[in-house]
Amino acid sequence: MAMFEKILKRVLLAAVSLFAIITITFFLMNIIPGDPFMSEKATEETRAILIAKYGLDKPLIVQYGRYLQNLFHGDMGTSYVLQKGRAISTIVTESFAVSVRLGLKALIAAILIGVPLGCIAGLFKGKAADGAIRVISAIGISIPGYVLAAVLMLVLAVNLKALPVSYGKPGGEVMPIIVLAVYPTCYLMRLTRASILEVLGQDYLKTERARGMGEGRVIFIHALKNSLIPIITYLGPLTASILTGGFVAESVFNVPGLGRYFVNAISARDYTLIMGVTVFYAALIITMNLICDILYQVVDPRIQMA
Amino acid sequence: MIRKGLLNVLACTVAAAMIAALPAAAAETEKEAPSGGISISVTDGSEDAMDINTAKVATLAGMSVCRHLFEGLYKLDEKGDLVPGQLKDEKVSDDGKTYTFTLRDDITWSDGKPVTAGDFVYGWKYLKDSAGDYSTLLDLITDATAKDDKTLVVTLAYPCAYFHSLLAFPSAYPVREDIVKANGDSYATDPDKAVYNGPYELTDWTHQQSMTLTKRTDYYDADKITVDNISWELMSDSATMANSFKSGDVIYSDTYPEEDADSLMDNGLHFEEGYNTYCTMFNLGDSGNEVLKDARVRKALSLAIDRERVISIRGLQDELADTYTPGGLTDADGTEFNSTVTPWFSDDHQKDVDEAKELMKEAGYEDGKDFPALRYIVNNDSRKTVAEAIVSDWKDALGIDSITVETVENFFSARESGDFDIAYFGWYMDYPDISNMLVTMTTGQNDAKYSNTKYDDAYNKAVAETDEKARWKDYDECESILAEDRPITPILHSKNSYLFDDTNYDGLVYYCGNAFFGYVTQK
Amino acid sequence: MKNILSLQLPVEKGDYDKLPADFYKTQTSQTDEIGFWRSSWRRLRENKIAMVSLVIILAIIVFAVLGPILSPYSYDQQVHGDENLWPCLKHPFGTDRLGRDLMVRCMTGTRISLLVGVVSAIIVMIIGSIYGAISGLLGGKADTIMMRIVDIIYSVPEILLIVVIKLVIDQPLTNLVDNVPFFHPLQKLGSGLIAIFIVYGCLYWVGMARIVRGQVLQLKEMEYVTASDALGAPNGWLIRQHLLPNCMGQIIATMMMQIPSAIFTEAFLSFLGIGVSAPMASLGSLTSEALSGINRAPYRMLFPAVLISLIILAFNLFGDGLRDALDPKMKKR
Repeated sequence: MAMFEKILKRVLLAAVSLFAIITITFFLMNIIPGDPFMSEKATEETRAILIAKYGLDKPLIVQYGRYLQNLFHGDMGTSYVLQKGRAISTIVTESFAVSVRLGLKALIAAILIGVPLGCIAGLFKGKAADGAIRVISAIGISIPGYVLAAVLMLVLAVNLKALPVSYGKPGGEVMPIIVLAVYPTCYLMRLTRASILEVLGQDYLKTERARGMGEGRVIFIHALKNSLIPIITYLGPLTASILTGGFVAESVFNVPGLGRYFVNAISARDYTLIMGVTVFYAALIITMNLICDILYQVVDPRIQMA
Repeated sequence: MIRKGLLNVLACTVAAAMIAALPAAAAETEKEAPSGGISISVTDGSEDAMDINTAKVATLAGMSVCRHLFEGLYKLDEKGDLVPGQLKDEKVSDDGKTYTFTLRDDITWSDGKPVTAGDFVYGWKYLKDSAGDYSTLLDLITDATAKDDKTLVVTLAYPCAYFHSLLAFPSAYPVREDIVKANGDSYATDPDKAVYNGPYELTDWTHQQSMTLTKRTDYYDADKITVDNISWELMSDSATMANSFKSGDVIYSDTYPEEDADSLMDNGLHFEEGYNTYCTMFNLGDSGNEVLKDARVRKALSLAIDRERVISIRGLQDELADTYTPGGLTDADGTEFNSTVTPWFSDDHQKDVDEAKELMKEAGYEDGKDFPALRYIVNNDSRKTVAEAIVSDWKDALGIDSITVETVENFFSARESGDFDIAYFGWYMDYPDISNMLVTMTTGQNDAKYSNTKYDDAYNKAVAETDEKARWKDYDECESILAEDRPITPILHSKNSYLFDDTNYDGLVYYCGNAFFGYVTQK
Repeated sequence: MKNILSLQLPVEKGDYDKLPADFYKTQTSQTDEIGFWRSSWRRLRENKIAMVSLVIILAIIVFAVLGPILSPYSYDQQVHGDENLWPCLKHPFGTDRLGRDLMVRCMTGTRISLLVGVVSAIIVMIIGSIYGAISGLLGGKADTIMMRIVDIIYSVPEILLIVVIKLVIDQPLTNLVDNVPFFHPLQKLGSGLIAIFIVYGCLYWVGMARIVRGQVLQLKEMEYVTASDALGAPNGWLIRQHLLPNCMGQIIATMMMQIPSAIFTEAFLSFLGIGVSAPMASLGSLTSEALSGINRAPYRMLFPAVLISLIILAFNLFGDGLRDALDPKMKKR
């Protein structure tokens, strides 16, 4: 019962957070100089007509009220610039589907490679395997994504012609997945290693050992289970950020995903799209965090929910 | 709340699919008839450049798509010349102001309805109402009436030599009133809602990824169209586009990284004359630095630019700009207009530099002493490189080292609102008439906030002038006034360039930055 | 990147109550400041990886600080006729399209990138530790509200915030720099770079705030703090005298990790085209400029990319070592 109440409270707080984010973004976005109808050839008059047509000449607070009202009725409006006239909800769901397809693969790759390697490094601290894994992971988190993407493109697609240049051709998913997965994989290695070491050093494990519990059992029953906590904490935001796609991977490999909109919509001052993407992303992150918190409870009921 | 939105969308999509089901099924059977044409993939523009609303389309890539899907009174033939399109017969009154157009009998929209004179009248009205970038293009038309379904009478404010070019422009295409009324503006984002009167119809639009254009067999001139299917890939990154071209995924790309020009020169890179001028703009408005209001300083800055070096750094076969107006425009006698105007620069760059130094001394900034800090804004890396070369010239020649270059993301809005001292400015002409170039420097039309009544008078006189000789003289005066005031300084006239696989293909039509692929054949 | 880099490994929310029972004793026995720093330094010296990283960091700093002074070229000097040169004797890193020596540009770029890293880290440390300490000390409702704000900032898409804040503050900032004589020296850097500091300060303190709050909550329970509190010591005094010094280890280690994260962010912003003003260079702007010419001149990408990776690598590894050395728990292993 207490558990249910806690979760309910947490959900309510999440809703408040979402509302706050919508409000902040709406007003921030409108402070940026410029409007959606700027171009080399546009004239003052034509812009004024369009601004009036979309109601952007009304006071900000009126626009805000109307946006909330429409949002409440499930209407996120239509895009002004990037996909002129299309409904935001269609754009977001369509491109999110693409990002998810890539993101899930990258996420699974990161977990399947990162966590086991991190465990190995932790359990064999100071050995050659540990050294190698630490070096690899350190390098992996040190390369900017766009450098990696450009080098992959140059080597694999242009010179070796092993993979197609852009998404949508057979094999076109491979490079974006690599670019998406490298950082989280390496980070997971480091995280898992640190977490395992931390748990292994704790007193109660020493006690277990002293009690004569086998090393294998110590590792599998206690160490691994307890070292999961920081990993789960990390997986929440990671999942959200990976699912919404990487701007770099998506723009370099021409993936029609959600990640590109984060930046492109702002550049184009496509107000409704900026809002749509933000609302969607914030809702996603908040939900992920919520799930993490609940998972925590399952893994370790001692932890208090924030 | 998102879910409810989704349901709405779903409902709309289902409804649209049902409405579209009948004609779509018809199209299905047509597609099966083999016409022996080829299929090609091209890339030209990104998602946000695409708009199949002819009244609003404002990008070259978007217009290229429109030229495939729609057709105006005039069109481009396989040689790239203007020929009658939907038009059977044209009569012009003696004063050159009234045109009577008779439409072809065999022209239809993709849903089977005939194209009528009323579609043109509505299209032009819709153009004005929709406030797109080109909504004023047809302002010279004072009256357009559909006498009957096939007869269109048009009255112009003044005789216009380039009227046919205008009529071939996507903004002048016909629009179906019933489609717009039924779907609103969104008809142009959904291939199932739009109807087409050109050689192709849009059969699929996977947003952000590709558009599929399929040949219409009921197009009157279908025999001449050799390409059955065009897969139009939507990309935004120039390196990705060039790499797709190199790997053979696409046979045409309108963009490539400038720096790859060298290596692409013998591998598909083509240059075409374009009516483009690449300039540097000074802010003469209140928000610009005081120092730029001094004409001597502007002239000195302008003269000190080593334009030859800029061109060699770009490596794109640009031509040196000695005037604002690009080459290729001929005056009443048929001589190149450019060659008759006084150039802005001398042939000897060193002489210009010496004059610039002298001017700076007069203005009180000898060797750049006490020259204020200025901000030079550009909108991409390539223009940043040019700007940096220019700033370095100013440093070397005039001793000014207080100018920084910034790539600003909100470039056009920053420039329009005057949030700059110096900025990139470029203009490409949409149709080869000089008024299209010189109008940009009239009062209220330019971001430099340049305003000179003498210039405005000369320009207005020129446009209304009926005597051709006198008109060119007025244009000449415009150019001279501009050279004296220098709110901008021309640097180079760039060419249009694109990648086309001409070892395996032939027959690309390229016109003022627009590409038409319908006549492409395999070698 | 916020989500990833500012999550610190051992102490997470809710993690503190799992610390060993004797933790506080170890900690109090080391309130003797000198002894603490001395033993930390000893532990650090024993850590080979950390020491190698430290040497690399120092070498890079020397490269960045002394390099431009010794180089025959300046970062914005365009040597006419030397355009697009591959690495050679005259220009060891080659030259760019404008004939500028890339080695001196890399040196200057490293300066800027390090500056971005260090200044941002300091801003983050100041805002984050003060916010975290206050939140932890006040506790109760205030703590909940303050942490809720942190959560909200955490959930806004960071790219969106960075770009929006950057755009919003850009113009006022330019005016400020242009009109106030005090800021004139900053003109060369351009408002873009200053905007990055502000963006960084506004956004990335949340990770630091969480960590410091966690530490404060632990320390608050310790007897001598409770005692001082009971004796009526004001909160400010508590923070200064007991809490901050005891959190120093964590704070410094976290700060060390913020440096590479800030350099990463700057590089990403350069990729978006909103970094430093030209002709000034940062490692981020050098790599992103090299992108368009990567087919023709890969060397232009190679050097700044290697430098950026090396800096991030070295700071990460050194930060790891530093945290181990400053965290007394590790001694027991």
